[in-house]
Amino acid sequence: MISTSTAFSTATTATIRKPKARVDIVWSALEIDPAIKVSSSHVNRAANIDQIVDGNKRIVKKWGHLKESPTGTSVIKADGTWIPMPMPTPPEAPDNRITPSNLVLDQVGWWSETASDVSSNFSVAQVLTVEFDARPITSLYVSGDSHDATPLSGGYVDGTGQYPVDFTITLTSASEGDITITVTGNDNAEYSNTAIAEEYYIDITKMVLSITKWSDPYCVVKIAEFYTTFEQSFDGDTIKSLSILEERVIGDGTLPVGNISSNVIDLSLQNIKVNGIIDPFFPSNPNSIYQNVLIKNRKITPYLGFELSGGSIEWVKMGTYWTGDWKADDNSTTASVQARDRMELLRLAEYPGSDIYEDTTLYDILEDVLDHSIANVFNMSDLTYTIDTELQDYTVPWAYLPKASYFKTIKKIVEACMAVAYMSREDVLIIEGPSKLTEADTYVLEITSNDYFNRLQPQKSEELKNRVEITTQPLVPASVPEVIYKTGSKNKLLMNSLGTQNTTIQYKKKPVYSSGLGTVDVVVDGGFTCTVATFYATHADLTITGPAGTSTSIEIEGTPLVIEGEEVVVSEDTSSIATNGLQTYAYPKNDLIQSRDMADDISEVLLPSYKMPRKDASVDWRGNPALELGDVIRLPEYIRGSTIIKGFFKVTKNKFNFDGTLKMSTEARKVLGTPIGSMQDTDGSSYVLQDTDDADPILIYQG
Amino acid sequence: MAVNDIKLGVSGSEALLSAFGRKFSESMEEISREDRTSSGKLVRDIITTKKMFSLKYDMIHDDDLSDFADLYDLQSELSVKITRPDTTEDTYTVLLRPFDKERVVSLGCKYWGGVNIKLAEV
Repeated sequence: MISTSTAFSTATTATIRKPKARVDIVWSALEIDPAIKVSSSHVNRAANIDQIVDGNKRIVKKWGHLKESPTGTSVIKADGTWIPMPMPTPPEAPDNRITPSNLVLDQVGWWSETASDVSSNFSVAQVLTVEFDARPITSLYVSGDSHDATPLSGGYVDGTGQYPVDFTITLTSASEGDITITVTGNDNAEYSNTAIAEEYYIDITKMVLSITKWSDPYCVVKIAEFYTTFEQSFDGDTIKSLSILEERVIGDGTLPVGNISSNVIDLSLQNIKVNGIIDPFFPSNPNSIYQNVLIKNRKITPYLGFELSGGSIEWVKMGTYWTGDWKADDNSTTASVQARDRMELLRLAEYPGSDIYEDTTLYDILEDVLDHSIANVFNMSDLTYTIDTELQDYTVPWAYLPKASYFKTIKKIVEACMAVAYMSREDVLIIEGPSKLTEADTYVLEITSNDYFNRLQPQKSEELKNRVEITTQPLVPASVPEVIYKTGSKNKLLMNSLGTQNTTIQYKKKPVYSSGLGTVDVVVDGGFTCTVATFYATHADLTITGPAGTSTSIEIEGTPLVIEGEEVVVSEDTSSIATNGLQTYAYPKNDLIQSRDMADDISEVLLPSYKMPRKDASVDWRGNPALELGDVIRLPEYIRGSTIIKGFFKVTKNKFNFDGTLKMSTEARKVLGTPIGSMQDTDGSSYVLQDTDDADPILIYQG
Repeated sequence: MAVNDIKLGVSGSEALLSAFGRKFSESMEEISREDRTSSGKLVRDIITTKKMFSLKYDMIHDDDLSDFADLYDLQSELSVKITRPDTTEDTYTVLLRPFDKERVVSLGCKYWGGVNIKLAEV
């Protein structure tokens, strides 16, 4: 449960409430615009010019640098104040580039090549260019070197730090050509211009900063930030409706094992007049500032909250989402968009596949996959994740992951141990171990008949399973290497005019162990060479060179892994079978489940949870946005006169519907084996624990 | 600025309205949804509260009524400034609703009656 104030909790259950909604939309920013390109013909080799669009506005360290001296001699002294610069990106070696440090504390930004003269002027203007897809520019911002600037609320004291004094900013507009803003006599380490919003520049594709005078003599240009994000908040005057669906279990009629799901919001904005703009969200409206940014993958952060008794509003963050297609209908006064959380980005990005893992835990394999996405997927660089250490208990003798989306890859791993993967409200990827399916902490919220409109406890007989069959798929290396790929006689690789050809080949036997135990050998015809080879467990990416216009056969020899000793591990509950008849569940085949121990672990979690008819809860109620997936709630199961039977349930699905008012639907799984001893009663009433046959505790109200 | 003065127009260009034959009333409109929970408890979520203003003219000169018609034809948000008894002035952004009128024939076609100008706060 999200931590909120007591006043907020009171507001959620008050007879008269004032619910509120807000969405923050990032229309344009580095993390969602892959087309942003930074360049300068006056770039110092120590610079990290990509940082001028990264949102970090401060240079906070006194970097040691040899250029800044009137005589050309070093001014760096061993006095403890100078700091060596972080590793720059070597421009001459783009294929082997060393990733520069992009930590906030390591901000360097753009440093120019030439130092200013004795009068702080540059004989040749120092120029920085940022290009991007057409977008509105509503403000200009230039941040200099603030490491020794004197802070002031919202900026710096004039004349402190280093900064551009005389400069121009030229905006290139697709419709209006170049627009130049000239600044002379700037005296602050941060220059900003918000008045430009009134000029309504809506289709800018390039910004050029040209500096002719610096604040200090004998100094190179140091710019920490130049690009501005375009971000806006919309509140109840603009939001027509907002629905948010969070779920941990997909109700598809099968058992919720190894679940991974993507949360989704549906946002509807009024499309009559917003911020003075008529028909703001019609994508072809030439007078709308939004015409170039109503596209996919805009970042939305929704908030729900309540107006408190003093008139202030307390907000609860409801996650982070990326938009799909925007829709604006001529016959409607609204524009709408559906957005999904980061899981959708993982679904759309492809994982290239892995090599073979030997005796590796599911925890380590998953960590590898997620780190790979952070390093290789454009909008995953800021992904954070938490993996339950319980996954360290699952060791796979021989594992591999084929080429698939990251989403499917993560699903395969969590399915192998009945874990659950979902995005938290704070945009953190959470992977919970299987014990969390049944474990429960103290309940965080009681929903009473004063709060809900309707409550159901569906039987879900399709989820009753008293016999579980899990097929193990033990992989073992073949005893001798063998040919795992060979081109057909009519399918030779033809060299292009450059004499170099890239190809991806799929092994006929998968997976293949490509290092350590058995090295993969690539054999090509005479006169040809395999210059680059990246081997995965299921395929290989090769670069072959040879005479242009000729063709070669390719043969690859390696050590495949084969399934040996496949076994069906059966667990069943005779008592449940006698009562309910035989209900068998065949666990999805997963080649990460290779041992009887692993199959037993899964059965131990699965069978107790599903061997008896379930009484999960579904409740339509007034709603509290602080309630999260996984929280334990207390609900009445039966009410008649003075008898109230209450149960504990773990939240698996929340749907919030805001249209000025707020309603919520919650689905929750009955908690088994609840640690009653830790339950704290909130209203002082006394309860007596009553055990049932299946260790399902209920509380009988004694009031 | 006198007590009971009412000015109406596009923001920044509000003009004083004729007080002749005018009855002014204002009311609160609560935009909300009520429902009863499973226990029978009545609960309410308030979206917002807005002002509704009514200017009833038993008789109004044709020129004054034309001013209202011109403002209605603008089809845009208007600003109304109301001087309270303590001489403070409250300003609201409003929409002008369409209105009916009845000609008062006995006064030489210069006057209209039965006019109710309704202003709804946006």
